[in-house]
Amino acid sequence: MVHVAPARRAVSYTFRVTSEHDAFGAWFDALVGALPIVDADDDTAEWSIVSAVSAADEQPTSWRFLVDGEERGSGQAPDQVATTMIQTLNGQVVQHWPGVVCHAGCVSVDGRAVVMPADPESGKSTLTCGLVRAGFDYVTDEGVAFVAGSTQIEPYPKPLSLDPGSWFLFPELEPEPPEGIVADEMAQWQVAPATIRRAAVSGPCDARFLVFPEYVEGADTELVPMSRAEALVELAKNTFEFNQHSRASLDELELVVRACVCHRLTVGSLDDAVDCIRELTRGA
Amino acid sequence: MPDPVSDRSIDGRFAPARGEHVHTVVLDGEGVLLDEQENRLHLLNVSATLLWQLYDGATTLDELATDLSTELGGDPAAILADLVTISRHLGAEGLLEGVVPEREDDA
Repeated sequence: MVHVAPARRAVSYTFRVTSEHDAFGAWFDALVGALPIVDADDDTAEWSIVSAVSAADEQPTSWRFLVDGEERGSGQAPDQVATTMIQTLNGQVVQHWPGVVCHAGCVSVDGRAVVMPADPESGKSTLTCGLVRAGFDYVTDEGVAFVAGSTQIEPYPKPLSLDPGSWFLFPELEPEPPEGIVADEMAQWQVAPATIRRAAVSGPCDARFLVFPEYVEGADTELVPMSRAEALVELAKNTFEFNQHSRASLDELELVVRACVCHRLTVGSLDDAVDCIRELTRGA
Repeated sequence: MPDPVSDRSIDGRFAPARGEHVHTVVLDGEGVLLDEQENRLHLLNVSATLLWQLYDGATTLDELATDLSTELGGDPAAILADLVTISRHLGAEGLLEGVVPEREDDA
C-alpha cells in the first residue's frame, strides 16, 4: 500500500514523500515530524521510495530513493535509505536558503540560541542531543540558517543523527525499524526530537552564544572564552559554500559574531558539557 | 604602475598598501582579513591590526617607525625592524598591494 506523506518544509525547501511501502513511509514521516506541514505547490519536490519485496516472506529486499524521478540513493536496509534521505535534505536546505547556513548544532533557551559550529565527528550531534534532553529547545544538529541581515535563526529540526560512538549515552533513544520490517542493526540512529522530549522544538530564535565544541576522550571538560575575531574565522570555516560568496558571507557572519559571547568547549564528559552551557546561558 | 616587489625586498623605504582584494573586518581591535583572490582568511592581533590600518600606500615604514616612536616611545630602529618583519609576513601572504611572495627557489 502506498503511503503519501504531507508536504513538509525544511527551512525554505518543501518536499513530499511517497513510499511504495506503507510502513516505511509512515516511519520516515514520523522521523521528520518536527518539520512544519505545508500545502504542496509547484515548487514542492516529489520524493519517492521504491522497494523490491521478496515473494517468500514479503520483506523488502532493496530500496531506491528518487527526487523528482532522479535516483539519489539505494540500499538494502531501511535505515540506509533514511540516512541518504536525511543527507539529501541537508544539502537541499543549504542550496535553497538565500542566506548563510553554518555547519553547527544549535539549541535555544528563552529565544536565545547557542550555536555550536564544529567539524564532522566532533560530537556536536551528541552534545545537541544531551542539551535537548536537559531541557534546551532543539533548533538543529546540522545546519543553522541565519536570516540575512540579522542574528535570527530559522530552525531546521531534522531528526538528530547519532553515530554508534554515542549510543551508550542515549539508550532510551534507540529507534525501532519500520513496523513489520526485519532489519539488521542500524549504522546510524535517526532520532525524532519528540522522542527525546515532548515539545522540544524551538521557534525562531536569535544567536547569542557561539560555542565551538570538540570532544577529547578523557579530557577535563572546559569552557574557555575566545575573541570574536577568532570566532569569526572559525565560524567562516564552518559555513557551507563560504567560498562561493565569501565577502557577503563574512559580512553576514560578522553581524552574528558581534551579537554573541564566544567560547571554545573541550568536551570530556557530556554531562559536564551540558552543565557548562547551562551556566553560560544562565549568567548572560 | 610600478613593478611588483618581492616580500623579501621590503625595507624602510617601502610604503605598504592594503591589498585591494583584501576585505577587512575589525572586531574588538583584532582584524580578520579576507583575501578574496585566494578565498583565505587571516587573523591579526591588535598590534598588527593597528599597523594594517595605517598601510595607506603613501607612508613609508621609516616614517611609520618615526611616528610610532614619537607617540609611544621606544627605539625607532627596533620599531622599524618589527614593522619590516610584519610587512614582509603580510607580503608573503599576498595581502599587500604590489608585493609578490618570493618562493624559495627564486632566491
